[in-house]
Amino acid sequence: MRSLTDARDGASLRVHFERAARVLAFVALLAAWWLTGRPSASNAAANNEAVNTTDPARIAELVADPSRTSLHVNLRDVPNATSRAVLHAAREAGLSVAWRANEASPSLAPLAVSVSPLADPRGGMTVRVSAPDGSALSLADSLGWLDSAVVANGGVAWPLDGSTRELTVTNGATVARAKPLAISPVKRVRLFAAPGWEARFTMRALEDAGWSVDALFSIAPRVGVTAGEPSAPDTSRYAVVVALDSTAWPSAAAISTFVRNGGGLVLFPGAASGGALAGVRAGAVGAPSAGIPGSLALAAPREGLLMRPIAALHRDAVVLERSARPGNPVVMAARRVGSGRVLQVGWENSWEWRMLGGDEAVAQHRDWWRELLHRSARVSLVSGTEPWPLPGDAAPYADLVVRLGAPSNVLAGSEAFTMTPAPPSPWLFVVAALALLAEWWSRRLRGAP
Amino acid sequence: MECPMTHTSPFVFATAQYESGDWDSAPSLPGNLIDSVARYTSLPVAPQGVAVPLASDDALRYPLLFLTGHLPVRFTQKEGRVLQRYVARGGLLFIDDHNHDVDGAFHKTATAEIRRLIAPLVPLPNTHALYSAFFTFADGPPTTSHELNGWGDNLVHEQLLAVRAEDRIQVLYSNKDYSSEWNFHPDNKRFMGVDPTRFGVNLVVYALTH
Repeated sequence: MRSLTDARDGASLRVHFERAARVLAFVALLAAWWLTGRPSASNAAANNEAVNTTDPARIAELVADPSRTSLHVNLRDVPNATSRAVLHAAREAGLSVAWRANEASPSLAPLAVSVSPLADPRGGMTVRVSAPDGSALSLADSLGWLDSAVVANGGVAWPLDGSTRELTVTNGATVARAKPLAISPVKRVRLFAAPGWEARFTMRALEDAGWSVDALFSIAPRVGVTAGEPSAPDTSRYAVVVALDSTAWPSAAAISTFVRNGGGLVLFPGAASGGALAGVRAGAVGAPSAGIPGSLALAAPREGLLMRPIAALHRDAVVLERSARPGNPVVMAARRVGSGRVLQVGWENSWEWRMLGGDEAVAQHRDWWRELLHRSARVSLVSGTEPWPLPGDAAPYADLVVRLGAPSNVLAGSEAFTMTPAPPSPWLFVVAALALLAEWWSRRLRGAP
Repeated sequence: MECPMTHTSPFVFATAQYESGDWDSAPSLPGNLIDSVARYTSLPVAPQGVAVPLASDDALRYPLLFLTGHLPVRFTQKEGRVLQRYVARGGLLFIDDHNHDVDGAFHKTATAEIRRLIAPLVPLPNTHALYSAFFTFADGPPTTSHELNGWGDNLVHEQLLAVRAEDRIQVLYSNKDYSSEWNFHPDNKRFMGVDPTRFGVNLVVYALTH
């Protein structure tokens, strides 16, 4: 038989056991709570370490690891579109993804490229690249290297001839790709002009630039001479109307409608003066100023031309060129009217530039006219074309930031790199549960409440 | 305050002066042609023509130049350079053989000079836009009474000669002696059944519109 003393000793042991079990459960729960608020160093070391790679296959492999809860990549250069998309998808799926520039290349090269098709019968495009000053850029297409340049003032612009094709711009290891939007062919110009040297040489310049010119010259009452097959301005036929003088006034309503429907208009002083085209012009026509003698063959040849500056600019007009003459009068301005663009020019008798200018005057005059039409002519995008090789390829660095956020400044390899806390071990809950169960069982056996 | 528009500058008929020959052998021609342009068309035209030295860059101010003579033509170096620039920039040079003689001194030397400085002259098709620029000349260049007057080669030249860039005339050359045909006294025009200067109007209109 057990003595009373033995019974008391047994009860005392049970009480100690129950207290120990309660403390154990409390400690286990405390540990679980602590682990919940603290990154798991061992887990980070095992699965979530900072990775030095931009290899698409390696990134895909890392992301595919089911045990991974976070990923930090040290980037040597901007990953390609596929890798960016993979990382972005993983991030959207719940994986914590962060990135920073590799210490060996502390600043990834920002780079963005845009390619705009030109309104030109011979095709062509303007490639504009934005990159930090001093960056050495290289431009190439599918056939090979085209040009290179060092960036100044934040960017570089390349005019390119030829048809639509994919272009690649490289800044260090960063590669941006873009392709111009396909446009319907632009060919025809409707010219309004009185017969004269300006009309003759305007046609020459435009035809030399590849445009087909339609015009109707009034030679005598009821007698006209046509160039091409002139008809009323219509966006289905013409990309741009060039109005040199008052012969445009009787067609002012049709020209205004043409512009509002998306056509381009180049207005010279003789056409812009008066009230007929006042609703679409960029400004009023100022007092004439004779050309500066001897300037036609110099560096600013247009200063040798008769000028009628653009005055009282419309509130939405944009100044594109000012003369070097006193007061810097405006000699070129543009504005949008409806869906179209109006370019107003203050120079007159540009043919004198072609005939009396320097050795390159013919090409300069032709290129000036090309530029006027580039700035004003209507282009129609061909629907259903894919603008980019892959989304984000035109600005890979910006795309990386958009997809993954700004770069992290935390040092690679530290524990803090694991962005998601590790879940507490389930064993801690098992221990706590068993300890509490044992305490409850012990208390029931000894009859305690 | 807005300025009223200026009108298109009037057309000025220009005759080329050159050192080697009698450039002024048809003194009444400019006035007769100016008169016809003013009568038949509404083109603004200066009432007086000008004579411009071919050795001067001033020649480039007149994109249509008329050149005639009887004597051998030898352009000076300066004249040659200006002429090359003139044509390259889009000017139209009209040369008329006042001798109407394919074996004459003017024809031989002038065509050789054009070949040396610019390009060989070749026949201009009689369907060219020049022949329908204002009046219609279905058979090509109109004949002149001077082609068969017993002087010169006594031939009716069926075609004019030209140097062209694509379809644009750079140099137009005539053996038809328009210099004599258009050089009449103005008072005699009323006695003519058909105005011989009508082709000259075509030339001016073509130059201003093509």
